[in-house]
Amino acid sequence: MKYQTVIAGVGGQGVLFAAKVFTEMARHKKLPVLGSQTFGMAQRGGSVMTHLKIGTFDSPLVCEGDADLLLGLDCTEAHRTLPYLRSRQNGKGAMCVVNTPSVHAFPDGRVADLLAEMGVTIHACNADAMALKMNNPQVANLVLLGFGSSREHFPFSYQEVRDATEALSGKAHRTANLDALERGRSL
Amino acid sequence: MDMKTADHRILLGNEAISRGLVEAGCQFMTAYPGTPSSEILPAVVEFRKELGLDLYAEWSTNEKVALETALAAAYSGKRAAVAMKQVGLNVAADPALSSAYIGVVGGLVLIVADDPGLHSSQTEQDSRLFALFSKLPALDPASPQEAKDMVALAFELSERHQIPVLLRPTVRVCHSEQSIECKAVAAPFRPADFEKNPRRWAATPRARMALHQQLNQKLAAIEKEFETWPGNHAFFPAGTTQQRAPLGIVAAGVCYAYLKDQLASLGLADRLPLLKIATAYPLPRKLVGDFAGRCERLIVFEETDAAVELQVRLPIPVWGRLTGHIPSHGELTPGVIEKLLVSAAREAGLAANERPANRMQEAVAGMELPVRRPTFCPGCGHRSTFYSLRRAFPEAIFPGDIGCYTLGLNQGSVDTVHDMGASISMASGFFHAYAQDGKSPPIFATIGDGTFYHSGAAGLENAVYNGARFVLLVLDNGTTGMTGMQPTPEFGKTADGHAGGIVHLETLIRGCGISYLEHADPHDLATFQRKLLDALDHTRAENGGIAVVLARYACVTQLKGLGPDKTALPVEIHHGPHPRTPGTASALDAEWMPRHQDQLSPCAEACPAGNDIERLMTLAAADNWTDAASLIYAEHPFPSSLGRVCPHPCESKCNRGAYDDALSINAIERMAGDRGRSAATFATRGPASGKTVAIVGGGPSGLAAAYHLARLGHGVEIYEALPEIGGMLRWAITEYRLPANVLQRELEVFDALGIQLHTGVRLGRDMAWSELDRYDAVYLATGAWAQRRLKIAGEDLAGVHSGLDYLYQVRTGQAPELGARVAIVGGGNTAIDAARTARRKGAAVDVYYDVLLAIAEEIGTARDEGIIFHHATVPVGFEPGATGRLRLLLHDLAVPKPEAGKNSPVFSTGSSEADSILVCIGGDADLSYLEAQDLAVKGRLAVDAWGRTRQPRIFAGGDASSTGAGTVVGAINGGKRAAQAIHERLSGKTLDAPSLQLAAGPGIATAIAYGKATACPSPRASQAAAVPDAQAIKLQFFRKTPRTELRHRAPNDSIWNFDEVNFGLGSAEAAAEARERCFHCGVCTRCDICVNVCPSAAIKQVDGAYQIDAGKCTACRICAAECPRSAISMPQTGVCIACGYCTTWFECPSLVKGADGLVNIDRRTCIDCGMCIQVCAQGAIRAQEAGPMEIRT
Repeated sequence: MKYQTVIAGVGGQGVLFAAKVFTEMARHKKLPVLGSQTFGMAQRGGSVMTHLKIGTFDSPLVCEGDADLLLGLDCTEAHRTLPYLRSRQNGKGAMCVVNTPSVHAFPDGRVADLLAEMGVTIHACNADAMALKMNNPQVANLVLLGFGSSREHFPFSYQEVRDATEALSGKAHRTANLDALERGRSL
Repeated sequence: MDMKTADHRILLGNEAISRGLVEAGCQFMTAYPGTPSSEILPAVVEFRKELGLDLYAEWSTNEKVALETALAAAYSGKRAAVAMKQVGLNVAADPALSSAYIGVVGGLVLIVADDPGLHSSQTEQDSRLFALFSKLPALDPASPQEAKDMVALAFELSERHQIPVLLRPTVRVCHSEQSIECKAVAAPFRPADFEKNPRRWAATPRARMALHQQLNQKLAAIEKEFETWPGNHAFFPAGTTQQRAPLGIVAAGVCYAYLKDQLASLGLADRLPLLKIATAYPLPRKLVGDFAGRCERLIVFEETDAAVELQVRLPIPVWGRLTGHIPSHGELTPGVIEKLLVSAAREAGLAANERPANRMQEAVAGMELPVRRPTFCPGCGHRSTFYSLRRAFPEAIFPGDIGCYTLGLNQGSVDTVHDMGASISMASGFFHAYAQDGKSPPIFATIGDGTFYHSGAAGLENAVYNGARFVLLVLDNGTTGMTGMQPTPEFGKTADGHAGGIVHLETLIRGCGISYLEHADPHDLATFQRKLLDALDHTRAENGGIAVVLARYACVTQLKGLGPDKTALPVEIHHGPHPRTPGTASALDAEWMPRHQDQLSPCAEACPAGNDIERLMTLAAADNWTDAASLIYAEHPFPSSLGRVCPHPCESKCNRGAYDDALSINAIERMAGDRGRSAATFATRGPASGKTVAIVGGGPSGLAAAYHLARLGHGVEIYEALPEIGGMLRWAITEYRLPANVLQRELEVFDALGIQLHTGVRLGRDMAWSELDRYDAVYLATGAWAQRRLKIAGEDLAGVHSGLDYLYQVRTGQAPELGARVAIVGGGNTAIDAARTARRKGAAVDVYYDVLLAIAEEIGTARDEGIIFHHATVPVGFEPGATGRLRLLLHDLAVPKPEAGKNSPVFSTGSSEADSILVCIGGDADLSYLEAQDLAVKGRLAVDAWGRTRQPRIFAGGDASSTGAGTVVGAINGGKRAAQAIHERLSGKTLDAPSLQLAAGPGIATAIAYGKATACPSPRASQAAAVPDAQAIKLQFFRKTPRTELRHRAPNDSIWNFDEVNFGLGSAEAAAEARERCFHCGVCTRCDICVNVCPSAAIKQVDGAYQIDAGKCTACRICAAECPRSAISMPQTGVCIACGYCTTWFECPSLVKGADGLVNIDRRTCIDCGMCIQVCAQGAIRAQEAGPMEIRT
């Protein structure tokens, strides 16, 4: 398996936790992982991006045009990160799972056309609204993961995401986190 | 890698380094946090716990002490490590350079993380160049795994050559994650064993020369070792073995990792030889030379500068930063490297598969997505701190510092960010640079607690020593926030949990020589701003200096919410229809825009005489007593008298009273009268109207009416029963309160106005009522001189006198002897005057009263003069006493009359004796002159508010009238009102009463009646005028300044004569009182605060007036909210009007602006701190369930 993921969001949204779920799943499957994270100033509400490469790689960074999956915790940040997505390869397109307040995640005509041309499958949901409904806005990242992992062609199964989340969650948050995944799946 | 059996973990590069440290037997670690190095020490502590190791770890207070501390451990033979970020090495430069010469015994690895691309740093410096400069060997890992592996090798190298080794990961190694193989601890721990050797450990310059020589030898030996270092390899693809390759690639550090993936995707992997370099200094030159021997040219990829490239000496071309093939700034990301490789390959004559242009990048760039800059967390106290600074001191210089609070940049209150601790030294520098030119702009330096411990104290100590003056805000959130919540010395909590000491911030600050240290909480913006202003005052005070404000609040990210001392205050933003001009999309209707609109000061509203007190203060402040007097003369001719005897209701209403003490308005009026021109030189008779008015009674009411009627051009004659005019001013108010010459000067105006005076003529005695028939109007102001009766037994006994009569008799030199002991009955001003007069005649005086109504200051002075007051004690009868004295039977009102005695005529609780009794309970009007005229009701002349009786020609006022006067100023009020009513009748014009009225106050502004003819037209009068209360005044803009005390003659001196007791204020004091203490409530003083606070620069001053650029104004209402004195009129809409102020200047990420510009709360991130409520001047942000808004205008 060689799989390149970009997770985009805003400092404080839980980009790091979402990335941890991926690395935990890879670790569990004994797959080599390389990744790169944002720390420091940007964690104070700036644009935050994590690169994750599962399989045999040397470089920790994903090149623009190479990502198989874009997980957008924030719609604006997802836009910014779209250039990382790859075009269709061997008939398989990349995947974009995005949290969006509106029905159309990428309403811009030119962007939408390009995405279609590149064969990118878009799965959009309003994870924030769901998290707010749960009275726990912090779990939007997990709602989105639950949503994404229950779609076809996601690199890991919902169960794998669930197991990894369970393993990584502290006692205080475990139930809420798993509930968020479940709510995401139902979207 | 056999991933099935070994302990593999996914670790961050920094954690991999930590794992390497513990596995290599590192026993001692110090660090100072800084991105991208911060995670190393905490991970060491975690592994220490996991493995049960005896490993000492500390967060040092800065990088210099971290290195020095670790060096001592290495001197003792232990393996030690130090971690810091690249700029931290600058702080540790001094020990670092010496450590190369002196070396170590136990291995020492100095881990310095570089930040190419400046993700979170000030410089893109390359620490490998620092290694070259300091002659320390430097290692440059390409991946987390290599970084981990290098640690053990570095310890061995360090111990072999007795030299510290610099391990230099870059951000992409530090913050990359990788599956890492974890092993057991390999090296044994060693006991500390410091072997004394002063020639080495305390080497003198001579000995250092030998050490330098040894260092060079060590480096030569190390270079030799590096030739075969496991991390240095040359790869020659199969196709390149036969002949020289057109291009060879040298890749150091993380660039190697990028290139490995990149060469493959570009189809160059099998065509280009690749040399991986992991030992940046000293460069294994033979290895590089051999590699170069098989290439026609080389290109060097390395982060961040040209450390390897600089060390290469080869006969073939070497492309890199020095040749312009590689950019000299910015991070070499895979994308950048790919482009550079393609163009280098082409230049070398090779074909490369270029990646097609990323059209998505263009498409997204075309969308102009908003840049998301870092900002303070929702609820962070820093935001309020910096917001307050900008709001309160828009013109200050703000030296800032490094930490989360660097983001104060967003609020416009961080002007400089240089290096850690520089805020304080720079504040000192700014101070001295301006002081040299005789200037002192406000300077506010900001520094966090962690940074203050790091390097703030040194700057503060220097600033104190060299006499700088500025305000220093130490922002104490109890942690090192930006780098991940490392503890500070404030709580004694150490990195690995060993027992630590506490260094209190306060103690440290005071230890730097600071005497002014105040605590402040920015969550209450107004109080916080007030404290900042106090601090600024200290920097400008004669004995002042540096003022330190310690703003202490918890880190909301560390606490994951508000601190325990804060209550959640959920807010909501109100949206709804708001008052826009119909048909326009953007503009608010004009009435909702700011308007510089003066209001009426409460003092002026309170003044019965109608004085324009706010304006009087402006003239007084300028020491302009001539115009100050003229201003008063527009309303009445008695400033010197009223400035002495007025009960000054203006001072009771002074907004300053709610803050410190009311302004000394009365004394300033007095100064205007005494120091300014006389009324006689101001007032002129108006053009003759041909009408005549008789004024009956030459007291203050009659005189006030006469003054205005004459100025309005009417022929005025005054009939006065007593020998001279002045009424109560002359006869009842005592000489020691109002000296005769002072009054005389004021009365001169009546001659000057050509008013005919008939003194000694009493209506009803010396002239008949019918004689008034020849006048067009008559004003009756005959006063209330007849002593009211007490209606108690013994009232007519010899020795019982009317107080008013007594005062008159003293004035005319006919006063009876009162004896040694005098009792006064009554609590009004006449009672006090009578008491003090009797005291001056040598009597011991007791005052019996029900309620004290007299002027408080006069009561105080009377007490000082030895007069005894008997509270709530009234006489119930007088009778002859034992020794020829009079006995007063007294009733203490606190003792209720017993039921049984209800009907008994006299109930007394005690008695007292006196030689004389002066009854001062107010007078009745003697209206016997009315003959058959039906003008009186209940013994007073019945009038309306304008002195009109039921006969159109007859007007009345003062104490004789039903409105009463009570005081001199009340009498003047009646006279002024009657003058206006009489003028209306005589001129045939309708009295525009509302236009004269001072809001809801008693006074009227007669100045307006004179139109442009007067010196001081007064536009302030109108019944509709708004009066700002104390809540409307922005107290934070005003310094607390005590009221200047009036000077008095000492009681011991004053009771022996009738000289004036109250000296008032000196003119300089009076001017200063007005200048420094008047708020100028509701009146624009052109202070320019609106100009400075306007976020859109829409306000400017043109020719002394403010103009608002409607095109720029966003209607945010900040100008109105910030006007210190409420002189800008702009009603609150109570709804969000999309002005953008909160999102721009407060910039809380939980306030989110929609496409329509309206702001909503992002409930995902809002922590209910409630601070934004204080920010929205339109009142759109309110506490949930706060109820309907109280609209402020």
